[in-house]
Amino acid sequence: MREGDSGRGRRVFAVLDLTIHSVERVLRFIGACMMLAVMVIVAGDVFARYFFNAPFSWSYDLISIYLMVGIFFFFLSDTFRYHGHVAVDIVQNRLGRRARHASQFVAGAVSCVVFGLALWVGVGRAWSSYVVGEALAGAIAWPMWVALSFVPLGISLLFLRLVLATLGHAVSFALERDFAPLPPLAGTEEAP
Amino acid sequence: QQITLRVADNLPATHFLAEHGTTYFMEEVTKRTDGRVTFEYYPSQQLGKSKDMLTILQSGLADIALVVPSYMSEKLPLSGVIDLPGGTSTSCQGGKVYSELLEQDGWLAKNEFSKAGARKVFVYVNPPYEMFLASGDTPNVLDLGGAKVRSVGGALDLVVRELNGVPVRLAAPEIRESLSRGTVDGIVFPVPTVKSYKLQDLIKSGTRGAKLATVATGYMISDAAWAKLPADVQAVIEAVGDEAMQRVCAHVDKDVAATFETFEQAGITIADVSAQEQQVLQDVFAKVREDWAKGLDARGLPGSDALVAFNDVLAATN
Amino acid sequence: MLAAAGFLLLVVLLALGTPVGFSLAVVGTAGLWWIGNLDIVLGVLKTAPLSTVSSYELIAVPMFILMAEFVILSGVANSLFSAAATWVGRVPGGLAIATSLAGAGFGAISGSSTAAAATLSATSIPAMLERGYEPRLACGVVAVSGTLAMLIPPSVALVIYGIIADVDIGALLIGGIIPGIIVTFAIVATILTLIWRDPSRAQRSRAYTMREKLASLRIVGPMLVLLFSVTGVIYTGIATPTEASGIGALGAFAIALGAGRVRPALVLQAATRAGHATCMIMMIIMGAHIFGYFFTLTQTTQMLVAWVAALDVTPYLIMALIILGYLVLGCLMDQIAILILTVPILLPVIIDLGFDPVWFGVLVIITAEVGLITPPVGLNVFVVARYAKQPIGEIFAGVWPHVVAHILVIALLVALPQLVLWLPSTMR
Ligand code: NA
Ligand code: NA
Repeated sequence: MREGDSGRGRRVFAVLDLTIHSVERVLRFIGACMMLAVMVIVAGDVFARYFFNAPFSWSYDLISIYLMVGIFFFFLSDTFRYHGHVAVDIVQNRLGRRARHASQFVAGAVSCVVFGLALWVGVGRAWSSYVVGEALAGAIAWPMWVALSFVPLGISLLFLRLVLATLGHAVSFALERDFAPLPPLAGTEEAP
Repeated sequence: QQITLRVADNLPATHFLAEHGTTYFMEEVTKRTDGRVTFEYYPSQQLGKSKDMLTILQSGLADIALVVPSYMSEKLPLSGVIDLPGGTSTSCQGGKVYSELLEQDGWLAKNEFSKAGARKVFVYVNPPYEMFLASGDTPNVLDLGGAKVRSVGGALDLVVRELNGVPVRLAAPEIRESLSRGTVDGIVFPVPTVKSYKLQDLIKSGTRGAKLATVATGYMISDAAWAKLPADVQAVIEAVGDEAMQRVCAHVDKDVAATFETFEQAGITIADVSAQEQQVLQDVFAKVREDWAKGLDARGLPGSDALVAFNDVLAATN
Repeated sequence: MLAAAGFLLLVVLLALGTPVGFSLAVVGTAGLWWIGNLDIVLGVLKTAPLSTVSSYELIAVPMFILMAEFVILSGVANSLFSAAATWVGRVPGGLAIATSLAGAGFGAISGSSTAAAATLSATSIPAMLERGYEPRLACGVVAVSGTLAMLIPPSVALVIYGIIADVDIGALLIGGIIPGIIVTFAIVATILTLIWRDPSRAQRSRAYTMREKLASLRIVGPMLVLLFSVTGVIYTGIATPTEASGIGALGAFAIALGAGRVRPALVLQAATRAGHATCMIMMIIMGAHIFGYFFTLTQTTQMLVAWVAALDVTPYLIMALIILGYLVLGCLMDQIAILILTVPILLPVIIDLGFDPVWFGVLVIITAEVGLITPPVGLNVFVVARYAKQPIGEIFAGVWPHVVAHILVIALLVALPQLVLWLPSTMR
């Protein structure tokens, strides 16, 4: 299989990839900040409880409703881009590039279906929560729609990325050129 | 024809509610329908977490599920009225009040559960929550002296703070360990839950009659599954459901009294809340209830109406 | 039957290179649709993604991973090996022994095996090769010592087991300590045996002066801070195991700050890498949830438990088969994925057979450790190969004596469960 010289087609994929990635970078920055926030809030909560007998009453809900949800969904698509979602590559190690494009196409297509459905119901769930004004009972009425909107936000990016990868692998397979990047095989390339 | 109903809950299969209520309900319905109705039982969160039980019903993953409104206060905000402090005094009274509000013309059924597409099979309301401390001092329920107390959030947080305690949120699996090494000084729990978490060897004192909160739960059937049942089966389910509720709450109320005695025999100091203390507590609770209702009113939900409906039913049972 | 079809489809998707979490979600979705209908599928897809990650207990996963990133940033990890080498470098195979001790030390302050292997590779392999150590011995020791991080608390793997199995996480973490020490001894014993058989495999290192030895103790301070910020905080009751993970991450951050290594870009990079690893793990948990609903509806677990209960054999034979199964799976799949996939199915069987879930958790982790160093999928071996620029076959050749030693340790823990259970029992 030839690599490299497929000119315009590759550039189209590269542009689309970078377009999605520009959003991913914003989201993962927020996700990273949320990660650091969890660290600071948890430690601060314990500190305030142990030394001042005054824990943060809001930390449990804030972390479990928003921050953990944000960390996962804001990293979801970026992790896929960096091939960070662990896969079993024992069979892939023994396949040629074209066969690997074919198998990545199938893998991408079935994933598109599932995440497409999850995106569809995720949007509906977030929207209805916003319309109804769902909020937790308690001292602070944390609105639920914020966390619920993280779900379709993260999944929509992953979905776009899956569609792009699936199409890319289909074209790569058909034209026998590497349009879409193949995941690295463990032990041969730099893992993310 | 043959009907199979999927039942889901979050309880371990050995839990007293499963043992005295759920299992009885399933076996009895099968018996009285001559085996026409059978059940597949999925305990221990096998079909989803406790906070997802309503969605599980709505999607048809389960036909009957144990719905605990306090786990999903964003979806069932009005049902929180049962859980407010100073409410019902026994499990059977709680069950009666909650059941009544969930009958077809009941206030909660009309205003909350019919919109969620679910209806009552049988309910279980916890006996009132009491304060239990890991220290031996007789607890002064009116002044906790800054004790760190495990709370579940919501109205209970407000109550604990009003009583000069410090509410601490902990995940359930960490309660035992936290209590044993002093991460928290106490817990607010109903008596049966103290036993099911095996905490009686860690607590040194407790209150009787504080009524700091309760938690209402109930097995609900989805409207879709209900509509598919023949009228005679529906009648059996309603009848057996009432019996199951009565069995569980009678068992629990007897058990609460007996357990307090075994606690005392084991050297745990149990302080009865005096009439005078109860009076002070009622003022605190009234404020918390008022705040709860106003909070919902402000969001355009009939919180005050819920409180009125609850008080009416409660007054009728007293 | 349907469950078998589901597993077959799962194997096919995994072979196609579909990420593990995605494969589980796809098979679960297909299975739910097959058993039920589209409403059920949509209902599950509506709740499972959010409710999997919207969890306070789960913060230990990102926090322990973040802690490992900050430990590496602080430079403490790199100093561990040189400090150990100063003290034991003089004995035969001293640098290899120092590597295993550094692995245990790193394990005590970090919960990620791959990070441990990477850090140890960067420092100890060049030192050993320079002193004329046989490459396969050197690389084998590094690969296997890295696995200790999974067993010695803090451990992401033990936390995940605790969450899935609904077992006291504090007891699990404390239960890993004695087996961690035993495994460390087993690694040292394996090194000594290898050198005893063929002394040319390792050269003695130079002697160190008392002044150098004392200077190496500078690392003790940061180590104690990190040990206290997790294990100490749990043991004294200042915080729960969940909260201790956040304190541990902040402790590692503070040490990196004290070492003058904190730059905003580096902190952001550490958080981003921890985010990728966290997301990967949570994706598998989520996929396993969706798969789990399907699997539950097939009622296979009940049949499995009933079938095993009806077998007229000793529970130890079944346990031996389970361990064998884990060793085989470990050759094929990621360790966390194996845990998440198998524990919910096997745990009812284990409990029914009368085994302790805390003991089983520690045993499964040790078995999974072996999987990290066995071909064809041995993540630590790949990491070492990349750093040491050695052929993968050479490293696999270097790890097999350690695999044998690990299996002996597993047998020991099966024979004497108290080695795991005693320390947690002293906690209250
Ligand atoms: Na560790
Ligand atoms: Na392996």
